[in-house]
Amino acid sequence: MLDFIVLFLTVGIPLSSALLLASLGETVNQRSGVFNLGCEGVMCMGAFVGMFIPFMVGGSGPVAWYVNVAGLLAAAVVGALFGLLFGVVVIKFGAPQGIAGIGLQLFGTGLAGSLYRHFIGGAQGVAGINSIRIPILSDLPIVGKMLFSCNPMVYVAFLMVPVVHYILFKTPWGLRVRACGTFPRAADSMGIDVSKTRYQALAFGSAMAALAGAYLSVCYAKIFTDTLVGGRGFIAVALVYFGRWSPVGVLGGAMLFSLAQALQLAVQAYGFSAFPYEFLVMLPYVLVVVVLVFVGKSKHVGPAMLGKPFNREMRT
Amino acid sequence: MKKFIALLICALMLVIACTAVAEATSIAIVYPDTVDDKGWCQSMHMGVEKAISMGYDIEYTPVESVATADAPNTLDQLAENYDIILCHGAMFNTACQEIAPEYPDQIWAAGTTDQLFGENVFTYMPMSEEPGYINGIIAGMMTKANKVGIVGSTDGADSARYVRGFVMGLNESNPDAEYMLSWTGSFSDTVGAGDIGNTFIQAGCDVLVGPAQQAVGALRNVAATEGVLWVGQTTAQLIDFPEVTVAAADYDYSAVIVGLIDRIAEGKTGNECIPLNYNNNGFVYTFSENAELLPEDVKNAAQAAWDKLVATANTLDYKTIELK
Repeated sequence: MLDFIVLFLTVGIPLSSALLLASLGETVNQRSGVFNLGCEGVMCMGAFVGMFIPFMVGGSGPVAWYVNVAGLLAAAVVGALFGLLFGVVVIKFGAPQGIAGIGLQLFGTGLAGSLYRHFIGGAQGVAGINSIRIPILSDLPIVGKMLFSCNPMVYVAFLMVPVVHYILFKTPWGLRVRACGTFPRAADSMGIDVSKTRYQALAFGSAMAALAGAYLSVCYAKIFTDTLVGGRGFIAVALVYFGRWSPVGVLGGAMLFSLAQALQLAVQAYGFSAFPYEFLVMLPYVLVVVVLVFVGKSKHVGPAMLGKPFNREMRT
Repeated sequence: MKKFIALLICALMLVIACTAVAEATSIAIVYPDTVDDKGWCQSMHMGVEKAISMGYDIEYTPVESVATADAPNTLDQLAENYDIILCHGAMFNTACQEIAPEYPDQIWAAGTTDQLFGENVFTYMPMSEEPGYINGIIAGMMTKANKVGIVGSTDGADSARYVRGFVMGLNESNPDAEYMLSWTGSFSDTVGAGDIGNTFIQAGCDVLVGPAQQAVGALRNVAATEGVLWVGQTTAQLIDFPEVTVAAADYDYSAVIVGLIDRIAEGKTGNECIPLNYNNNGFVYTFSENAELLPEDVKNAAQAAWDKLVATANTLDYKTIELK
């Protein structure tokens, strides 16, 4: 039984990283009052750009570590640009955020697939960034394999939880972001440029989403396909509600979903289940829906002006 | 003079008729993914190209990445312009059954299924238990931990046959070996296949297999882990990961294309299932050339199983296998 528990924890922790990065980015978006349903499309673009640079340099063979890092950074930059593009649509032109987000999702997914076919083609992979074994600690029983033999980006993802928490709750910029999402008119009367702050939040959040996609293509699957992201962008948006717009809550949501996913895989692998595998595959998604129902009753409310455009010339 | 003109007209009609007969057969193939996916779609694409290289006069149009929901509209449009419309993937079966009766002059083909869909529809079914069986024999002989992992896609159609054939081969070559089996519930969930591969590796499996194009996700984990081997389902896996892939089975869909055109030439229009097996060269099998990776005794055992399947069709009763 211990083997079983260790197995599903060992598999579950890396699984959470992509969701965690994307959800943290979406948390910042939503804290500023912008609801970005296009997270999935941004992740797809990040996944493509992230693997494009190492592939161009070294094909499927190994490349220097900084080439992979350059791929991740390029993905983040492209993600930020997508965030700004989305900002132009929803902040400058005041388009409905839900519909614009769906448009961004379709645009990002389609563009990434088309660029991939044009520049790379086929099911090509990259050597990518492999897991590292931290000396001494990785040899510890049970936790060594679980916590100290992971991909470097897993540590980056977990490190981003306190970083985003600090940015949102301990810095002047974080205060401005939260003010723009809660009471933008008051923020505006205090001299805060609401549009500029929302652009900045979108750029940051989308860069995180793209980094999540790049994690999948460069560090995890080490390949790009049109279906690589596979709905994780939408799950990331749901996890922000689950986590009540708090980085720590989002961490809990990402871990719960990923551990449920790892659990269903382990249950299948060990043949423990009396249920058909289709039910097990559904388990993590059903769990998220059920938990969201209960979390929805929480007194902790989200940004009051989430999804609402701000126009300083209008009275509302 | 009149007789001469009549003769001339008859001759002209004959020439036109002959020209019409000599026209290439136009085939449109609807794919769920791209033709360079190193898996399901690429196998069919290569099969058509092989049939053309064998001298079959085919005008071929691939229609890639068609979503299941878009299939009825796509088929409707193709029916107007092609002699044969082939739907390559079980996700298109319903659309094909729905649209084909509306175009009785066109020949339709749908796979994979062994059901019959109507007078103008051929179906085709890879008997995937055969390559699965050979891979099972290899996996059973190669595993040192007596633990083998099967990265499943969905428990249906040829994927289900492959997995059961694999278990048959595994039980036969190494009754002490255990297998772990997980399904992603999809054919294209590369990340999910990677998750399963990682789960198996962490659980101590030292030989992994997986049907469907998504399996490359698991194969990448195998390639990154020392001491774990992969028994492949497409030759592309053997080419791309030669250091871990010991052998690979592959579909040769030219058997379906050739079978389809030959049957039409015989005057048949459908209502028949074209099988794909070793007996009709519907599968090929390739061994790793690395002798250190694939010992001679394992290769000989696999070769013997292969020869047996080539000699006679339908020898494996995969339905007797109850999965865990």
